[in-house]
Amino acid sequence: MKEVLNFWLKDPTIFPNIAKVYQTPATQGDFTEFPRNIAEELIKKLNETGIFSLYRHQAEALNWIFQGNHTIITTGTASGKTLCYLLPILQKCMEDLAITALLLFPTKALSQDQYKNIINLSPSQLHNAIAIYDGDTPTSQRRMIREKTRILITNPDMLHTAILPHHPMWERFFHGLTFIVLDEIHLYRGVFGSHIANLIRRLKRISRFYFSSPVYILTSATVANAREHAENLIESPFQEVSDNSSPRGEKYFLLYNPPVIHQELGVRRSALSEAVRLGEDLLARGKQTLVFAHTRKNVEMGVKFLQEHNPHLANQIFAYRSGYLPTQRRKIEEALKTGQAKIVVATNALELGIDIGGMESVVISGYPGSIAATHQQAGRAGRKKQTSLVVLIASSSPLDQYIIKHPEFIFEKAPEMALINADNPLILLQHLRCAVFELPFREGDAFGRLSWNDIRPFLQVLSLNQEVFATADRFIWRANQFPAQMISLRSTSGDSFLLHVEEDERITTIGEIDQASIDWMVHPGAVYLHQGQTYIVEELNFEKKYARLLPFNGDYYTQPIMDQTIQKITEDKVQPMAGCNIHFGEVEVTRQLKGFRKISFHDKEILATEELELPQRSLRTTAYWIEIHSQSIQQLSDNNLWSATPINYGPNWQKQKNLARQRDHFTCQLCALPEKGAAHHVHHKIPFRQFSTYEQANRLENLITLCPACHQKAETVVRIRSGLSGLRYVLTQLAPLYVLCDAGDLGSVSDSQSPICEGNPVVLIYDNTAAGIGLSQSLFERHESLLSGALEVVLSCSCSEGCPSCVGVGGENGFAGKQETIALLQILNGLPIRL
Amino acid sequence: MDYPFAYNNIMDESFLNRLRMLGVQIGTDSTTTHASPKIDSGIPIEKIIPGKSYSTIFGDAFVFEKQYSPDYRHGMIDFNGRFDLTTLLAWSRLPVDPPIQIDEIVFLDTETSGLAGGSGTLVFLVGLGYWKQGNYHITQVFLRHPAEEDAFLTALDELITPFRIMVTYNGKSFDAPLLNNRYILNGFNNPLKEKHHIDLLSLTRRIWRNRLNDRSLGNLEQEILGFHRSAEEIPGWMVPQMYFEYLQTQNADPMKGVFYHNEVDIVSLSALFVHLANLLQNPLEANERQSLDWIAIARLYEELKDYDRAVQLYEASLKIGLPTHFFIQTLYRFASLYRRTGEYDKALVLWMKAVEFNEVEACVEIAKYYEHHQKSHYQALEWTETALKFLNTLPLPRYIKKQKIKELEHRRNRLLQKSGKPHNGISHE
Repeated sequence: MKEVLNFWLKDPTIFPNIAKVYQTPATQGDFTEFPRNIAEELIKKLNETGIFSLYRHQAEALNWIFQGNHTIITTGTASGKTLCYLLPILQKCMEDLAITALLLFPTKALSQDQYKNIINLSPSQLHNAIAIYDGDTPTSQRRMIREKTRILITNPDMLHTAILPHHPMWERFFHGLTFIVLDEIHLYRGVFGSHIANLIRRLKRISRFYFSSPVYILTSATVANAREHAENLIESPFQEVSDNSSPRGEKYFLLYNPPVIHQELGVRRSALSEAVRLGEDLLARGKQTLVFAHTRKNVEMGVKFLQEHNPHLANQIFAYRSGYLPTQRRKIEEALKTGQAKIVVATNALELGIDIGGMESVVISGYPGSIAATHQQAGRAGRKKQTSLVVLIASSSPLDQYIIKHPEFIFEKAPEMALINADNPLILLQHLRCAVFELPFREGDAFGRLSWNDIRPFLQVLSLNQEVFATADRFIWRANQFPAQMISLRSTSGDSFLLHVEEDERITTIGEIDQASIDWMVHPGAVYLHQGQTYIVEELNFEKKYARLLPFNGDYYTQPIMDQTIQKITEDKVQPMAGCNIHFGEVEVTRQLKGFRKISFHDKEILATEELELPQRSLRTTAYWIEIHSQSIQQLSDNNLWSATPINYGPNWQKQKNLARQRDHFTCQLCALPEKGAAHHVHHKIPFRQFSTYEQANRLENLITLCPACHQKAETVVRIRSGLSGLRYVLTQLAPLYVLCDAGDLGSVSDSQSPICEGNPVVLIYDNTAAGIGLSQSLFERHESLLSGALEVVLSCSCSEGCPSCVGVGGENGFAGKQETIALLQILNGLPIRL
Repeated sequence: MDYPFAYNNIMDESFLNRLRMLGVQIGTDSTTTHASPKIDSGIPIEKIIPGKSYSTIFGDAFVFEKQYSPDYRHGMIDFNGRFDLTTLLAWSRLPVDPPIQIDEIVFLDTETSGLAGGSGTLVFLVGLGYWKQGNYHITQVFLRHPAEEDAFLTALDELITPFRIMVTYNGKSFDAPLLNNRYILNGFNNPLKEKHHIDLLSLTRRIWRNRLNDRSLGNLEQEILGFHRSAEEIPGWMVPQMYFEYLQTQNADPMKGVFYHNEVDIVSLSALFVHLANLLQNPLEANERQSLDWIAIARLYEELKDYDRAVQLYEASLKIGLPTHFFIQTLYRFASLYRRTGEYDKALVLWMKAVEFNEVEACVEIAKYYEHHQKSHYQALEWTETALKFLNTLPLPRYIKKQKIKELEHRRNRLLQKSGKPHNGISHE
């Protein structure tokens, strides 16, 4: 491995791109004997599989668990986490024949993999007592499993729809329930995590009903708040085991920044092509390598390049992604284990704990979006005795570039927090339905940490809806329905739209899409990508809730043009900070898709703009907003770095304004919306500042009546100049570094004259989920580090006038306002303006 | 994370508005926000159904009992209590000793608050049917209110104590698990677990598979029992909604139809049991000229190793005739029955009959018979040739035909070797 490294360090086309090399020395590992209470048989079985002692952290976990503590294990990939929960379970199951354990894995594939693993480690007399119960379990076996299984492997969706609603059929199992394992809990975040927390509340009610109080054992990838996250999910105190004491070979971790190929735009050579290039070097030296790519399309492209360049090794090059059949996947996993596969290009489908053995090297093409995922992917490299190598190749995105400059985020302390909001009223309401179905609520009952007073209003709403029936002392289920079947754990609104594809006069359903995303993703005329295929949306049917797609071979993609207005509902917190006040509260975001742009795949040029008429949608959610102080604006204006200051339009302004409105029949001259209640805005076609006198500027010929939404559009250029939109851009891009979320989980708006803060300039970030899942609240709490990170990103970017890696490429005139953004960020960081 | 919103009072309009803004629909078309049950104007169940209070240690339950007259007929079925259950009970694999008396059997059917099952589904009416000293009775236990469930379940427990055997229709997948849920949810032992459970659904499926597409109790009632319900009947899918309306309004009037529906279900279930008992005991008389039913019952006899009665039924069926497909199927089954009992000559007659329908398999069976039992390789060879001839005329998929020809040619070649004849000279291509 060192040979490859030396080769790269000498190659002048590679060496300059290596931004950082981290070396982790080999460690011997810290071993300890099996605890004395472990049965001989169990130890014998472990010896057979080559395990003769425990790592110290495993013994520590066992100790906590045997003492009855809820325990979270965060010791990283390949540190033997399975044994941490499996040994106590096996031991107790052998001591007491009534004891049972529930093991929840996030996916069916992972259940299959872990099942094999668990069988391997278990004494044969327990094999009949271990089973998977999921959607693939044949009906003929289910009864047997319900009656006999003691170590049950399943997933949250199955617990939700098949086990809890039928708990009396699992009476024996719940009576004996002693351990509950949740694996990979960093995945249980956001909406999904909020559902899981409520599922646990239900599970706890049912356990209590059968007089059992199980010990929870959780595992997680590295996140900043693993223990807190566990405590939020389970609503009980946890012990954490985090020091990895397993032996590891020497490991090199390279941060690789592809060379800049377009200085103006800050565009770098693509991460994928660099990954292929490095992959080839590794392949040539026979190093088994896993290349991670972001999209399925990239996976296919990567494999195509590799095979074209190395035809003699084509049978050792594989692609691995979701969308492949399980049998295909198992084959590739097997080929990895046996070493037959030398290089595999994969999506994050291979990031989860499926056992493929340790790789010699891992190449990550583009920052995977979170530090947790980076660790998971990098953890695939590493063997007990050999040296291994990880290369993280940055893309041009701000986050990737930030990571390149701040490798300590990866190597020292992960700053990302996994967040959930179990009390999101929509999610809570859905699970209360299920909970009433499972067991009636009696006066005084709690639901997780929510008291009777917290949940009673929800139950009363269900009663008004005739879904539950209120008697003198309890609420019982009354609808002739099975609520769990109508609730998906993976979205807030039960409503989703189906994606129908019409091809050769046959209609097939290729997937579904959340109500919240339909405007963005599948509006009429949208180009939609699914499994590497391109489709165009023919029809969006709101009544029957489907989108009809046709296969599409055009050379453009689409970008929606969205109008957003924000209304403040409540303001829960305000805090003065440097140069601004920050707020947290509830807002209503009204969004309307006005149209979309067709953008060329090749040169990103706008080919056409089309208008659409779609209904307005509103989203009530939580938001964090930054209200810029007027002193700050003054400071910027003095430095000529703010051009959105309200202007004194002169003594005839009111009169001219009214004349213009009258002339335009009080109707917006862009969208023909008539005035309703409030007066429309009057806009200067040529900006006021460009005239030397107000009379000239305010001539009627220069004025036009616009509704507020159209006015906002017309002012875009001006607002960009203020640095406000640059600030919005960089904050939104950077936020996922602090809260574990996907790009679509947050929305943002900037407004230089915001009605929610008395006309002051505002940048607002909101949770893109009805009622919020805690993302914006966490950003509010981490305002200072978010802002200092943002300043660094923009300052250290080598572009001249803004690029996708810092403040964005700006409006239609290409002017992004990088200087203005830097100045604004300096003020918000309490620093003097220095450009 | 602190809980950001305080919801303390339902009357708090801002709470309701908040949920509405989030897209939650509040209230249904038929209710206003302030609708409350009008208990005063309600008609209690006691005024609708002449039942009585049944007292338990958990309070009172509501029970209705009714005795049928000794000469009651349900459709075409006599309810006089004189039936021979021997074969039916044998099929049910119940312990024979001590012999089961009709008085030990209870017929059970439930009405529930939902048809989807699961622990959120209430059982609110359980109908029991039974014979006592030759007279037929029904008892219905009704849940007047969910708060009364302990008493309701205890009453049911006590009422079914005398019976060893429980008969249901589809009860193994519906009624029994639901009642099990209710007992567990209320912290009781489930008394049904002690009973032998006969679910007639699997038996009716076997007997009428060939004849009836719809084997629901309602359809059997009309097609087999010849009973037709009165106008009081309400369809089963409406029952859950009606019960909740009763709970809401406390007006028991619509429950009349539900009680009727449940009662007829129980009586029809009992009648079906009687009919099945007669049918299995004496199929030729109980079910005249229904040869499709007879062959189904004959198979059942075969399973019970009652070969004499199976023979009798197969003979009768072939005699009065069957649709061609079933006729041939029956020839084979009947023949293999004889083969099993060693009566090859009788089996041979049946296979010969099948040969009239150009049956390849029959030829093969005959060839096997000549080869192994008559040791006549020549005859066996002849029949193998006939089989090959028939096979060539059959409209079978090519790959299947190929496979079968291969098998037959293998047999032929073996026979040729045994009989000492040369291989070549005979070709069937």
